[in-house]
Amino acid sequence: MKLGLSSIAYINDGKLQGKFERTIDLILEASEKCLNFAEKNNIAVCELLLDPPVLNSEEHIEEFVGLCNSFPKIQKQVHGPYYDLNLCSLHPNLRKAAIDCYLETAAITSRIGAKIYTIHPGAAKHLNLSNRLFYVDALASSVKILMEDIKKYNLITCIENMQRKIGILLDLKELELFFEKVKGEEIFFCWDTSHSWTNDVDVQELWNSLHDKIRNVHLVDNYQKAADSHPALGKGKIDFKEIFNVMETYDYEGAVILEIGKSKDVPESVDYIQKYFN
Amino acid sequence: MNLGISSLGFIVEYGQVKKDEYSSLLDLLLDASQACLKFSEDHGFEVCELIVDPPEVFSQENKQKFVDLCNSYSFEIQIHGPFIDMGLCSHNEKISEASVQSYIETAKICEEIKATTLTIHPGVANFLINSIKGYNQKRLKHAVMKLLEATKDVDVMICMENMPQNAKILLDEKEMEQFFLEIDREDLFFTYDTSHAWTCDTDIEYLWEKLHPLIKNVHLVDNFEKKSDTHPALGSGKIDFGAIFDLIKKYNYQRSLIIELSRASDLEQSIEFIQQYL
Repeated sequence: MKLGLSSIAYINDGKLQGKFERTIDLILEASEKCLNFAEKNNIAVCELLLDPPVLNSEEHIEEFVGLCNSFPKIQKQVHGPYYDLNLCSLHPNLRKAAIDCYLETAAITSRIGAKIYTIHPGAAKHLNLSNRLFYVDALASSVKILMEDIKKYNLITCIENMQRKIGILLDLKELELFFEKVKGEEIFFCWDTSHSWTNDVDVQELWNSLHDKIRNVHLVDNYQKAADSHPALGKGKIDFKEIFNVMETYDYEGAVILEIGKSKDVPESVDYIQKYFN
Repeated sequence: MNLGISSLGFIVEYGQVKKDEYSSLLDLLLDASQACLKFSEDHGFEVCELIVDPPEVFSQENKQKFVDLCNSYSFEIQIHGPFIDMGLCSHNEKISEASVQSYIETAKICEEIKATTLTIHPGVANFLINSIKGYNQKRLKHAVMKLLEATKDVDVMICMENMPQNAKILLDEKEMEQFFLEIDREDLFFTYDTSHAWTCDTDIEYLWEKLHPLIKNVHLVDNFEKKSDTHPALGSGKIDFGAIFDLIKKYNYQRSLIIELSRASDLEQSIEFIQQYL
């Protein structure tokens, strides 16, 4: 497996700093910092988060492609936008908007030569509606449409499991139901360690059932089930030893992406996780 | 002023209690709307507000069923547009555009049922970057202008609602005043929600003084705590309805007062409570 770093820490820093003349500068600066850190610390992969989705002109896209091309030794992945996007929305107009947005980001992913493309399902939050099947059906419907149109980019598209408060793709049962409903589609799975933990998922059972779909892993620590603060790895309650044992059992060869909330915690997290690679 | 009820309580209650009885969300929406209309008729109300969320009315066939139901009653109907997942203020342009389109379609439904008032929400200002927080406000303004232009020939009063603190936009009296000043049009009005204002510590005397000519709809909602908005029975929370009705009378407000609860079973108690102020 390959160690990777997400740009989310640098995006979050940028949000707090908040001094950008153009919103695209937030993406460019965060991506550059992430790629720089990876290059200097022999990290093989960077997962670049494209939220806010502001690469909406050819000029902006070329700036981003140029930046990515200036780091030829780093393998790139893309994490699609997720704020306000909802593939499982009960509202057809909003599902379509989310599909369109993910398609546009897929085109950018292809332009930088990335293969792994991670998307979110959205959030199931309608007025305490008890019948959750409506959301899973809406999500499956969106994903089928998305996968049909995304084929031309030849990507490995991965949908991510969610933390408890999001209300969709939470536990193994729901993930299995979703993948059954999209059987035959080329959709894979991005496994997030913290999101699983907030839902009390049995890691062994999850990998036993879905290991052949896992193409991306987000290594995230956590302290509490009701939140997802992305602290430095090793500071929370996630059992990374068990996680690396399971990945070894199933010969996982993809990227394991450090998704850290603050850039100051990145060096410490990289140091902490090295022991599992030795 | 006209006392009326919202279909919210029926939608939430039926969605939870009768969850397995519905093969589609359209059935839930129609059943809840009919119950609201029947309750209003039985209690001699002259107005009721129907929520079109779940948003199942945006196909021609489904829309006609909803229109036929509404037109089988003779009293005044108001419409509350869809709001779950909607994001007029979203930094994601596609989500903002899709939300505008949905409200345009909702306005056309209003015309078909001769609804006088359409209440809309701004969405949630999710992306907390200081430098682009203003971007949410700009997107909202742009989206509202587009909606008003597209519906200028539709005979319905479009009312923007103030939001609870967790929506992070259109919160207190100053923000509402600024929003309407910037929109600067004679065809956008205001739905005043009593609970939303309370969660933001709104100065309601200032709010009514500055914006009373624009208030064309009032949501009577109680609440216990500032961080949530549970819509309990009127009189069971902390909202000072005495002060609110003093302002309503002071400014000679003549239009609807809509009781908006999360449980239809709390309606009788709430109606009885509010009678003392009428």
